[in-house]
Amino acid sequence: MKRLRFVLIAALMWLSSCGERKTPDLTDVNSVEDLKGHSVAVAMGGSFDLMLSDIGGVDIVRLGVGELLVAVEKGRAEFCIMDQFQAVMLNLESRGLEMKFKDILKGTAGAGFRKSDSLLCSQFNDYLRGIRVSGEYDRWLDEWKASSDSMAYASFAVPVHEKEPGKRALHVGITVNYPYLFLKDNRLTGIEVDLFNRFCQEAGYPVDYEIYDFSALIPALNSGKIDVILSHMRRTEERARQILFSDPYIEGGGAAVCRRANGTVAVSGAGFMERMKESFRNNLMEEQRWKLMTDGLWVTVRISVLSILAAVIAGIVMCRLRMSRRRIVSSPAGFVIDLLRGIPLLVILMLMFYVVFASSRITGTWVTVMSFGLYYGAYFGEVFRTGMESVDKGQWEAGWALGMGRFQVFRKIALPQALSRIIPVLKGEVIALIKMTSVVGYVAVVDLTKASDIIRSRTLDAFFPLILVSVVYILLAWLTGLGLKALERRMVSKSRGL
Amino acid sequence: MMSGLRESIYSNLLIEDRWLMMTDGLANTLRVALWSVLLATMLGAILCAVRMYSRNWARNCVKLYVELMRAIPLLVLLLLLFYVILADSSLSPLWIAILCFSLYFSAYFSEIFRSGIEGVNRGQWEAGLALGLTPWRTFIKVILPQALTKIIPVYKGQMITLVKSTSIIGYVAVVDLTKAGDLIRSRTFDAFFPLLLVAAVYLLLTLLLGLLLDLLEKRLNPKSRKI
Repeated sequence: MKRLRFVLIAALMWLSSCGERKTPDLTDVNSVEDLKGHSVAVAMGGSFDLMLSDIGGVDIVRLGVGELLVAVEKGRAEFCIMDQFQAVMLNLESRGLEMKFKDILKGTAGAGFRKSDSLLCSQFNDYLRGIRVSGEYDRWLDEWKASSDSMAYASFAVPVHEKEPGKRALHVGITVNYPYLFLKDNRLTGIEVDLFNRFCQEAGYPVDYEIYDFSALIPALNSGKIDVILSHMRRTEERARQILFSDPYIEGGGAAVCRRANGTVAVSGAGFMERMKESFRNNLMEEQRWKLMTDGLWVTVRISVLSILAAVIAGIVMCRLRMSRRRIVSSPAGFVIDLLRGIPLLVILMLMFYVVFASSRITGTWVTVMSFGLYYGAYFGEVFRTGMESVDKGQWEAGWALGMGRFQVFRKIALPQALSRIIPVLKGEVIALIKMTSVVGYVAVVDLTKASDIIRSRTLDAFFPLILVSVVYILLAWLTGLGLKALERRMVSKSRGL
Repeated sequence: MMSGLRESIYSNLLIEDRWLMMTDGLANTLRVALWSVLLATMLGAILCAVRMYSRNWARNCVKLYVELMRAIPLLVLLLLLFYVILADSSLSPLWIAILCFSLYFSAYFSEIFRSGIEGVNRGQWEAGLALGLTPWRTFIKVILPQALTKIIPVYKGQMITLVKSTSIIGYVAVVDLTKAGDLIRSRTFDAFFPLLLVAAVYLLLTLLLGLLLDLLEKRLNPKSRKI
């Protein structure tokens, strides 16, 4: 007992050694070297991330591209390093932020291709050379540089090309990041998208854009999920060993952004309701962002319904195998169920996406449905099994004594009784499944959560999209609960009405 | 095959001491998991007590809280705490994650505790009181041991769910096991090995936890105890 207490105390001391934050003093930070000892938010896996890791001594806060500014604004990091062009285009002043220094890792960026796909790469390079010579390139870049937030990009953004017979569709992996790639009026646009659409129109490729995390782009390219990386990726030695870079089409560097030294955010005199109205307009109405949300909701609902179906089927199969009287069937089934229940769903999802279905052109949605089907199939299967096992053996014997067949006893006697025990437990699992779909953004599916992430990365408003998404999920869970309760009532009355 | 594996181990773990990332990640995962289990259990017990033995309004508050927590995705709650509710606090992301998991799972735990305690026959209470035990002694000596046999198996499953759920804390810049795998992947661009390794470590963790809780279950079962 004494030893146990000692171990417990030691564990508590170890646990409480979690880090604390310091108060910022940012006045004399003027170069990358000075960032040592400060917390800096960067996009995970990006070149700034690698640079800071190499410097050492910097407290690196790795986030998604769209969350960097919010992290600084909310004091989650003292600095963030972001693309300097982007920093200029975003209105930093009004958010109480400032650009401290820039031209970090100045360099050029291009599109990325698979090493084995040099034909496509050289085709793209030819196109780039062509527009440089004709002057179209300069016109294109000037137009974009001159455009401000309010300008109608659509006027010069080229639409996606129609599918032509004989040409394969190009799958392009992107990271949503204003002003290179972003959604306006629920359509993907931005500097790079515009350029690539022009190329595809000339070369006659239909295009399919898929949204990934930046750090997932190269694995996705190399495992054949996508054909092109279009994410103003800077050329580094380490990357160039993995993928084929096109000729550069954009120059840039990073800018370090922090809170303004003496500045507090200019709080407008508007009341709470006013601000909510403003948020509502900004996050939903402007550029038809609500469409992104409704699309996301639709994806969430579709994935949930399909996954529940898949999981029920998988669950029935697993339950049947697990309950088999032959050890040679039941023990492997038990092993698989334990395996599936022992690994986080997120890890299973990524394993399925990047390893199992790496080279197949199956979409993220179907990989998700399969992963969820398997994972929750294991849970559902156990629920079914406990339900079936709770039916007294005497019930079976009674059925047989009445001269019923095996299936008939199952169908008429065992199942109705088991169902009345299964459904209440299943209800919780189904709602858990629906909520769990919020992680599918990891495999390039734009669901409700990811949609709000995209909006967040554009409006840099942390509050409204998140609250909205929570409310929608709560509604979904509530509606599902109601539906299942109705089902439960029907099932129970059915078994009673004998 | 073997040389490929050796190459993978070298480039993903040994070079630049990348295995340190994994062990640091594992430490963070364990920290969050252990603290959350601890806090969520305590909070769950309190919620359960309030829900079962207190005034109407407090009971309704707890009911609402539980319903709310069971309806909102964990990831969304985490982001809400990180960017909205605790945005201006000086709490480190690690503690925000712990807080989030504690709040979320306390709702589940409290329901598990409640159904366990309610599963004990009322007659047991009356028997305890009739023997002259105080209500508190009755609870500790008579009700709880019986309830625990019902609670532990479900509690075990939920605890394992908690440990696995910690894989999302990478979203708020805590480098846990999953994120460490991601980080290595972002440097080596090897999709296969880090993921498999992470999966194996989680599996090991949950298996160990399952074994530990099985032991606990056996020890707590009054039927296996010598009287």
